Amino acid sequence: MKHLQNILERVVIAIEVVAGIMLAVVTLIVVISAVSRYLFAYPLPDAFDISRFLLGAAIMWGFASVGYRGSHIKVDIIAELTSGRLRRLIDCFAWFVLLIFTALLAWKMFDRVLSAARSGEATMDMRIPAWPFLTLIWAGVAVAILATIARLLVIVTGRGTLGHYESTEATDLKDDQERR
Amino acid sequence: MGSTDFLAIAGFAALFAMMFLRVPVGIAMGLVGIGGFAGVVGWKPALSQLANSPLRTITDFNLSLIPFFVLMGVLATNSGMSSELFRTGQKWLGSFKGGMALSTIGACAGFAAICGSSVATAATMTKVALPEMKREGYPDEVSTGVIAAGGTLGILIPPSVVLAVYGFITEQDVGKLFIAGVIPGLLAIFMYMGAVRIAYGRRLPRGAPFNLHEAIRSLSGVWAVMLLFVAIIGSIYMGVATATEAAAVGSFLTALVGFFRGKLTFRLLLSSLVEALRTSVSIYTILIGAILFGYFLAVTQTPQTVTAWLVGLGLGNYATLSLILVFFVLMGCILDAMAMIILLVPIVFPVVTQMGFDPIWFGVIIVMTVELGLITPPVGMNVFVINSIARDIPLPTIFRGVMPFVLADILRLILLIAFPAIVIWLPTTMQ
Repeated sequence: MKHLQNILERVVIAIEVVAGIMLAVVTLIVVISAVSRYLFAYPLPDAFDISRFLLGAAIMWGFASVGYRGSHIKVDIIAELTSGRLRRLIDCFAWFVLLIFTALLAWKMFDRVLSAARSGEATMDMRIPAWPFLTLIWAGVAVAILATIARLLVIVTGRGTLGHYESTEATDLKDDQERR
Repeated sequence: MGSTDFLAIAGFAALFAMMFLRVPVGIAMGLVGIGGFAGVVGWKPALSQLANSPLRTITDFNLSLIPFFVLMGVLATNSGMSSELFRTGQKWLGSFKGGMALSTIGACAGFAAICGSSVATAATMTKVALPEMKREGYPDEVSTGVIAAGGTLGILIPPSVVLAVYGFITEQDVGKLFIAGVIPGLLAIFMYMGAVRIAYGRRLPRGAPFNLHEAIRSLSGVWAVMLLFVAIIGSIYMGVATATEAAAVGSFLTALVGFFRGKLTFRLLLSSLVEALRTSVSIYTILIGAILFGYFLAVTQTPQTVTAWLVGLGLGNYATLSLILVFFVLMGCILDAMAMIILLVPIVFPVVTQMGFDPIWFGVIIVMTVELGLITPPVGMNVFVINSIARDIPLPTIFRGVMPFVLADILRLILLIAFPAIVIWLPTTMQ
């Protein structure tokens, strides 16, 4: 199980890197487009559509990461008053509900991808088909299902619990500063 | 009570039950939203919301300012800008009694000017300022109280992620909201400094004597922060850039400055991107849930019912406003600041606008109110963050230390309610 957890950790890191790079690309596109519009009155063609689609993909791939890390914003007050089996039961319930939502989202979003492919939906300037971007977003949701199942397994087998949103953020900051 | 009213109450009960069972706030809102909507109009249209609404939210270009501002804050933190701000604060304010506490508040304010997160501000300043204050013999109660309160400036001084989200859900101009936060932010800094002097002044040591030459030289360490703040807020104020563009350019410049000063590596950039994304995803999840929940509120006409009920109480505008603010403070005991804004503002916003209050002004007031929740028990997120880093200082000590600042916050809130011009004057001068 420890070996499996190590593999899962590596897979999630890879997912996070993909999502992080997408966020970097979106930032660059918006910066270049804004600067070229103000300096040369020439915005990058399709900067608007490509950046928002890529951002959507980054968010959904990030959704998979947060699904595994367990660091969604949630109310921890009751769970923190409990321990042992009851705590594990609460965590299992919470992540099972997340799994249901993610599965429903993947199902309905897939319909949306199909309808975009059928209708020939495209970007504004260069008329690039929208469905490959939407598929990339949908892939993030599909990966999120697997990531949520993985976290659920970790909780069920008692090898981990759910992180606290803010303390995870603070620990990240602390770790980063300590690394530096 | 009609059937839709009953459904709305059942929906809220289910929502809170799920939230208390640790279901992510956004997911609970989303599922109750779909279920409730299905209860009124049927499952097929309810499920079809899932095909379009989340996708619309995550691909909304205007919302991209959230990850950009979050990224900017993370990059600023990882580039070590906070320690230079603290050093500069020391050179300018250190000679006063309690000068190090005043410097910490100044540094928190400077950091808040490039970082929109209170938690990040508090966490960073705990690392930078707490060891120094300990060395100078500051009581734990004072040093942690100052950092916890100073951290809340991150949510008010622009750019503020919470104000940006408020702007999105109430369809207000985010640029105007940011500019409206400037004077209340400055007021907060001065009132916090006043609180330090009045509550703890006599007990605290004085630092090295003031040296004008050194003080001016210390400014060279904070040029990056000043440049970024002027570039972002200046461009929004002058109408040169939209808030989204300013956010993207701001995060890009922060990375550039970090590389230029040798504080940022490629590896650190990547980890900053991942960290920013994780925080942004948590916010987006609540936004997705809130929009789905919003359809349920719309079909059950909950905001209208709440408005009619509150106005029907005949309490008058200011008593009703006070009731809303007290409700937010109480909800702050269980809910995160962001979740509270996204869940509750759509319900009370119609009441506030019907009473004739300015929506930009209300944005600042409500953000200041949730800010209180960051330092008051039992949740007090900033207090927990400090405690998670400085394990040896117990929570009650930190809560005791923030009390003078809580009083300062309440006083500031009363001032801004009595004189709304403090908030709404500056945005009216925007181009």
